[in-house]
Amino acid sequence: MAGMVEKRGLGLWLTHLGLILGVAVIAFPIWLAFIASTVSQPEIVRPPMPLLPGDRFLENYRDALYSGVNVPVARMLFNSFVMAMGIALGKIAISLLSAFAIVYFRFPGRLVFFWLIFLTLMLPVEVRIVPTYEVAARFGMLNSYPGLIFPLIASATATFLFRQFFLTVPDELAEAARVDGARPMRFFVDILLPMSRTNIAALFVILFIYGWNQYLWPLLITTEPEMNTIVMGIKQMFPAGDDVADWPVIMATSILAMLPPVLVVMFMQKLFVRGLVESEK
Amino acid sequence: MATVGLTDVRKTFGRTEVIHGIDLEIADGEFIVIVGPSGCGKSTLLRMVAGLETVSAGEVRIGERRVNEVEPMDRDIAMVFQNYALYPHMSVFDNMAYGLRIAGRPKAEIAERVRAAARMLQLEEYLDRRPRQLSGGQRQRVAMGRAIVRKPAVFLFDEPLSNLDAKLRVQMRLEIKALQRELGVTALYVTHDQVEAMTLADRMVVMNEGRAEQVGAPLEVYARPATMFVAGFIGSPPMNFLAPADLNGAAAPALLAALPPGTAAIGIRPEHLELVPADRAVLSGSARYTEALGAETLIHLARPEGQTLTMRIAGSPEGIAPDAPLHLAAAPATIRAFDREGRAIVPT
Repeated sequence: MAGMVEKRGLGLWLTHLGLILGVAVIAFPIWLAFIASTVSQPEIVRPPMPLLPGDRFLENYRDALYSGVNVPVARMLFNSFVMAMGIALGKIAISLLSAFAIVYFRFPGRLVFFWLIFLTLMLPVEVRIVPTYEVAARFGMLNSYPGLIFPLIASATATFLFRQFFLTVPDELAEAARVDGARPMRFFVDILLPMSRTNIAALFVILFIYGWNQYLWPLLITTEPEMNTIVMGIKQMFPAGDDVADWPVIMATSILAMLPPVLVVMFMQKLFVRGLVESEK
Repeated sequence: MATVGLTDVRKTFGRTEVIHGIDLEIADGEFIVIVGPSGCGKSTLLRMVAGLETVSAGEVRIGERRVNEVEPMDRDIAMVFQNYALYPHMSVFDNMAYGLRIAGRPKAEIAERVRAAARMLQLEEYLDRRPRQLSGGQRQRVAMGRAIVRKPAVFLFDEPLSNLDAKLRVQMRLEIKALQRELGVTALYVTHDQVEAMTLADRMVVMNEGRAEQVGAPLEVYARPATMFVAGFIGSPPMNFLAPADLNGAAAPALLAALPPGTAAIGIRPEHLELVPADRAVLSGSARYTEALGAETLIHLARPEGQTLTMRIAGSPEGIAPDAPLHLAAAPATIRAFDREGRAIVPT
């Protein structure tokens, strides 16, 4: 309590000054990007750069969404959304099931499978990208949603997280369900899934952002602009050679690319925090 | 309502046998308590009857039907677990209804049966709550309700009261007994608490290291323990054990002569020891501690030979000075004799 009393007065102001400065440093580039998306091309190119919003907000965003540079940004947003949702939901579904199998069933090679899954932690996409590309290409998955999603679905982290959670669920619960007559999948659906819902929500937020921010893999596997995702699409908008960059539209695209993860975090924040700090028992 | 039969039931984990052949016939509507120290295999035995553990050898029958290979849900049993095992995300109503829902009962019947059980257990006003909003005793009741609604032939209890505080335990003990009487259902109840065993059981099974040392009515077991283990485990404070040579009072020779041949140890319950004049004593010792409990007093005595004895007298410990020599005797009929293997010698 004494510490809190002392903080009143000068200490309080200094603390807040420090915090405001920190926020300003982090937020300034985003602010610049937003300004750049509301002015015209000549205004950006001519120094000094403006620091207050211009009057071309609607025009720039309409241009970006409906025509873009190579392909309409709306299309790229849609692609990214499909990919991020596919990765997040796919990862959750697969890791829930594999954790269920590893924790609740005794089958030959159970430990081997567990370690095999665990090993993939050491092999992120970047390390296995060439063979993965080869496999995806032979399956004819270039420039397709399955090609964007499937290679990124297997997730040791999520399997591990659910395994740890399932291990904290008392054995008696599974036994009570058995006495009640629940077959394994019924137990999984009726008991384990609802008990895991905060974990699922937290994982969904993390995985959605992970999927949304994928850069290298979509860059490799999509060659047609129609299949570009927005994060890599921004890079594709940069001019090659002597072309003129349409900076207002690129900046508008950047701002648009930031919005969905922010919205997901905002709407799922409550569940997300609960999933991280409490395990319901 | 059904009988339960165990014939030479054994359990092995890997190469270690933990249950060494149990035979038990339980009558319809009987309340059997399995009691023993931790690690004696009592829970494992119960779980074999439930079908949660496989039976390594022998046969388990419920209502004359062999159930070794039958899934728990098809054995017509219900089980109450030590930590209640309530589904945390379901309301009290859903917890109790879950088994019936899986069985595909009509909604109206489920509602009616759950409400009937809730009424019996005074849970009606809590039906919409989640388990974590309930007290320990209420959770215990929900766990019992979940068992009741299924109308099983056999109730299985796995130390259901050990997570409750002492006062609640006494109350729930009475409720369990009343409920079992009312429903007339066969019950198998595992506990390490001998008071629960004594008060609940029609017959009790005292287990030690995977064997049933004695099966019998509680007072029968108390009065005539079959082994030294049972004698020491049932009764609090436990029975005093002495070697015959320790009896060295003035009246000892007569008592020794009356002991059956082959007596290696004798046992005397604390309440059977009485204070007598020196010329009638079979034992002596000095009072080390007295524990006055109000209605009775426990006196812990030290003997010159080094052992300690416990005696129980009615009333308060007035007139017993610390370290004063005390002379003790016990009626010959109350003294139990045991052979070298610790088995009771029954006088013929």
